[in-house]
Parts: sequence; C-alpha cells; structure tokens
Amino acid sequence: MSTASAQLPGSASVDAMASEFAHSKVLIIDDDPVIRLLLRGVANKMGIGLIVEAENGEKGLAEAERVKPDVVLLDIMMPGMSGFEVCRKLRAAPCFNNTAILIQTGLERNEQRIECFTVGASDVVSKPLNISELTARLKTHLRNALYAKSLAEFRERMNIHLELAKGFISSVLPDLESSQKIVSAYNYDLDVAHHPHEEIGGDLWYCLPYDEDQCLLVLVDASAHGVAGAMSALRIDSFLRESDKYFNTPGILLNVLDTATSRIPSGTLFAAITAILLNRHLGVVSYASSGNPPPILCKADGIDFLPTSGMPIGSGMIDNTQLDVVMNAGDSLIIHSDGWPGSETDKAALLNPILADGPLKAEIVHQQATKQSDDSTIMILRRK
Amino acid sequence: MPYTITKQGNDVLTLMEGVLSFHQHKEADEMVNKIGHHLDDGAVTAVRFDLAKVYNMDSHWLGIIIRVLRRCREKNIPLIVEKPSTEVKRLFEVVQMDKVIQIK
Repeated sequence: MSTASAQLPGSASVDAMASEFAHSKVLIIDDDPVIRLLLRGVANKMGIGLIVEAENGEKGLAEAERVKPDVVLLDIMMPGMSGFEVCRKLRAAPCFNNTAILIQTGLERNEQRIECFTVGASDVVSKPLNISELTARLKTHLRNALYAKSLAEFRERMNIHLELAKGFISSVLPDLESSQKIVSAYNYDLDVAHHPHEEIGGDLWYCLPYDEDQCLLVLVDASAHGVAGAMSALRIDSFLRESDKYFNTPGILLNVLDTATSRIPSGTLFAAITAILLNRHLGVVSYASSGNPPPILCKADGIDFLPTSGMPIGSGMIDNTQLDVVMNAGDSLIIHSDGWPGSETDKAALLNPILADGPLKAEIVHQQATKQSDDSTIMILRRK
Repeated sequence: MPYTITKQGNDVLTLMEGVLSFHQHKEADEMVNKIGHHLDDGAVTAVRFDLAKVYNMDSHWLGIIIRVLRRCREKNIPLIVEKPSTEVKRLFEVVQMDKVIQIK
C-alpha cells in the first residue's frame, strides 16, 4: 500500500490545459484506492478526456487493451501481478509501443529504479508523490503522445497521397511483357529495367506503335526526384501523348515537346528525353536525344557511343537533329537515364559480357551499373 | 546549401558549395530570384557561378542553372560556370549545356 502527501496544483492553468488533453487517455493501475482517487483528481484538473482505473495488474492489462491509453500511471508494489510484470507485458505488445508508462514507486534504491526502465518504463516518479512534479511529467508525456499521434496521422496521410501518386505513374507506364510482344512484331527484342530511387520517381518509358511499320520507344528522365520528379514526368506525359502525330519523327517530336514545356510559367519543368523510331523492314533506326547520356550501340565488332544533340526539353533552346543508325541482326542499342554514371570505357567493359549472347538483361546492367541516389531506367533493344 | 551572391564590377558572382540536390529546392528558388533581381536592376555584364567547392549536383540543379540561363538570354547576358569538378563538368557535357554556356 502506498501513501501520498502533496498539494494539488493550483487551478489557474487548468483551464488552458483542459482542451489540450481533452482527447487524451490515462490509465491508473494502483491497488490503493486513495492513490487512485488522488491521481484521478490530478488527471481531472488537467482536463484529461478519459481516465480509467484498475485495482490490480490483471485488470490493468485488460483495461489497457480496451482503452489504448496514451499514458499508464503504474504502481510497482501491488498484490498479485507486480508493476514490473505489468510493464513487461505492455511493452511486449506492439500496440503499446508508443504508450508512455509512468511508474510511481516508493523503491529508493538505484538498482530498483533502473529496473523500472529495464522493463520498459518511460519515466519514474517517487512516492510519496509530489503532485506538482507528477503533473509536470504527466503533461510532458501526454504532449509527446499528442505529437506522436499527430506525426503518425501525417505519415498515414502522406502514405495515402504517395500511393495515389504511384498509381498515376503506374497508369502511364507500359507493361513490359506487352511491350516486348509489340516490339517483337517490329523484329526487335526489348528489355527494360525501371527503378525509381525513392518510392516514386521522374523516369518514364514508352512503347508507342505509330503504324504497322514503325514503332517509337521513348525514355523520359524528368528533373528532380520523388513526388516532384513524378509530377514533372506526368506533365511531360501529357505533352507527349498530345504530340502523337510526330511519333514518326523523333527530332521534330523533341522540338515540339521543348516548345510546349518551356511555356510552363514557373520555368521549372525540364526533362532529358530520348526517342527511337524502329522500322519493321529497314535495318535503320532514327533517334533524337536531348539531355540523356549518349545511346550505346553494341555490334559484334565493338561498342559505339552515338552522338546526341540538345539540352533537356523545357529549356526552350533545343534545335534537335534526328539521326539515323544502322542496326544489323544481333546489334543492340541501349538508352539510359543519367542514373548510370561512369566513363564510356567502364560502360563498354560492363556491357560486353552481358550482351554477348542469350536474352537481354537490363536488370543485370542496372544492378551492376547504376548509382543508388538517382532514378534509373535502362532500355535495351536488339534487332532480330 | 550555402551560397553567396556578390557583385564583382558589373558581374553577378554566385559562390556555391557542397552537394547540390533537390533537397535544397527552397534555397535554389531563392537564389534564382536574387540573381533575377540583379538582372532586373540592369547594368549586369555576366552571371558567373563559382562551383569550385561543389562536389556534386543532381538534375534538379541543372534545371536551376537552365532557369538562370533563360533569364540571361532574355537580357543577352552570358552565363559562365567556373571551376567545376570533373564530375560536375561531365554532367554539363552529358546534357550538352557546355554548348550554350561558357565553362572555365
């Protein structure tokens, strides 16, 4: 049985606190009805919205499960289950991870007080209780609980927004298997590795059939990362889809996109973009590339880094030239965003064994080559 | 991202340092606005960025430089990037910005 000797805090500040803790919940577990009455009085004065009492450990655990308190005021020396055991059991349950457990104890020895923290107490107050100190500590833990709750709600909201944004990006990205079937009909094999650096990113890729003879492949790397990158990428997506009449002329397409994106008033929409036009019958692909690293042409006798022209679209300064490159059966063409750093020598050394034979392996190139701090997309195309 | 903007004669000189990433987007916007105010005040002969202490920058910052470049072009003023590291210089070359700005 514990005793208490203290003055209740003055009521001057109680009104101000009343609304602050109106939605807070406190559970008092103590076998002494006088202490419970005293603690209830303190909690009432603080304007705590829900105050629940339990006279022993077993009932205390049941009440904790029922009300999910923000703070538990827990006595140590109780008949039956001790406060230590109650504390251990509460901490063992993940749903009480964020619950503050404030132990009141008459135990004076250091080791005993340390034991309180070892079993998971958030704080310890000595008996006889100093009500002013108890009030101050209770206030601190309740405020922490409010901050934690507010942070958790914010995170939950952000996660929902992020999921929605991911859905938007997913809806504009093509399905790889379907794209491989489409490209196969144009006498090419295709493989793509697409990895945002964070949960969401600013890289997009496309497989856009123009007619039965020609198909356009596009890689977009919008500036910035994360949600900002994704928003930029979606704006580029809109402009791109509105420009379908230029899908058979990659150079003009990029100039059109540059003009459109450079009119965005904030002047913050930029993207590197590479567009490659396949032709089912001709062993020549036409391409234009702005701001992306040079496309890599892998032939049996070596690797070439193809010329590109133009700054990122959105600059309003590009005058993109369309170039043609011969692709014989077995030749591969790789386009990638700037998430793959390194010198041309390094890239050639990496690609040679990977592209030697067999199926295309964009994921392997990605795993071995890309840096972790940027969105990364690698598209590999091979003429059948 | 620490940066300082000063006038050197009629040049607007911006010193930047550290790693420039999209995390500093607020500072970047602020910097663009400050340079813009200098340009609006007139009598500017060049906008210079001293990148000697910049270890790396991401595509967001390329966009920021392009924004400043567009403002410079409206005023027919050159934009000069000075002392970039090898990696940063390579980034400018990849996006072919080395063809439209001076890199010293």
